[in-house]
Amino acid sequence: MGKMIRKRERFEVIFDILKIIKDHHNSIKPTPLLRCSNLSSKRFYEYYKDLLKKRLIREVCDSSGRKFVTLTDKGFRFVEKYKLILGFIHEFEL
Amino acid sequence: MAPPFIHGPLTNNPVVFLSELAFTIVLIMLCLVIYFKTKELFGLTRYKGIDYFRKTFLFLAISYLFKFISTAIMLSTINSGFPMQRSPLVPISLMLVSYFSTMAIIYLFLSFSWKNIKLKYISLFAPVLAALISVFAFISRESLIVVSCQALLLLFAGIFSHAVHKKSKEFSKLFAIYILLSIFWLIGLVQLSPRRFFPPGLNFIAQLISFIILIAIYYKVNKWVK
Repeated sequence: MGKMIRKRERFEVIFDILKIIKDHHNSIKPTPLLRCSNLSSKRFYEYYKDLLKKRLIREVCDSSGRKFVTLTDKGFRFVEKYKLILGFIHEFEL
Repeated sequence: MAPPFIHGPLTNNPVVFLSELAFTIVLIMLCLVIYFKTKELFGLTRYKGIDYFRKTFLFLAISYLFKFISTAIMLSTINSGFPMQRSPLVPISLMLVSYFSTMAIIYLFLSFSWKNIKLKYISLFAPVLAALISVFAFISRESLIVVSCQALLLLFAGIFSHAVHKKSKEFSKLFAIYILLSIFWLIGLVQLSPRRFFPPGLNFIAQLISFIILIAIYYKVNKWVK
């Protein structure tokens, strides 16, 4: 059991990605974000697309055309409410 | 031999009728508060389980509303002396109660077991089954058909849930709360049958217990949704 690494739950992964962005002053390039997220490239981009689709994050480009990722208001709310969301799901066995 | 309690004092008593109206309003309000309070959580997560949970209470609110309308229609039909069997409004209202309450039961079941169900078109299956039961109700004009179908659904949900949660060996208090709420809903639904099997006033008790259960659920929701 000691060697077994617990697979991260979907919400935990989402929270981790959003938290990384937040902790980087709400602005990080996609490649360092991938590195910090501890996910495979394939899985990371699945989550990345999903987060964009759910409007939890957005892409912004600076004056020199470099792409950055930032949290939306909804993304900030998710980070803020993460524990409550998990608690609610657990409480009602959803 | 005449069936017991046909159009007994329950329906003809204005005090009981008004208290039933008051209870219905409170039950609808509680269900809607639970639905709207969880709106943000669903908006943030788009999580299927939360979606099923919320919609359960939306359907339950609509069911309570149509159940009361059905009772009022039956009462006015009885009082007007018009034969209830010929009133077109009775089967229509019963059909609507049947549809929305079956949807509520299915969504309640899905809220805690959707992860274990591999059915691809589950979101299509629920309205089809609910429509089928409501057509039976419309044709038969008999709420006992709906009660039987919904009781079977509950039995299936109970067996399925027991099989799924057997591994955890933990008795789910929440599941017991849901079953109780459903049982008292069914008791209330029996009241819509022209044949009365339960003594007058039992519907009042059923509503009172449903109210207590919904308050408990609301309290649990409120703990996590500020």
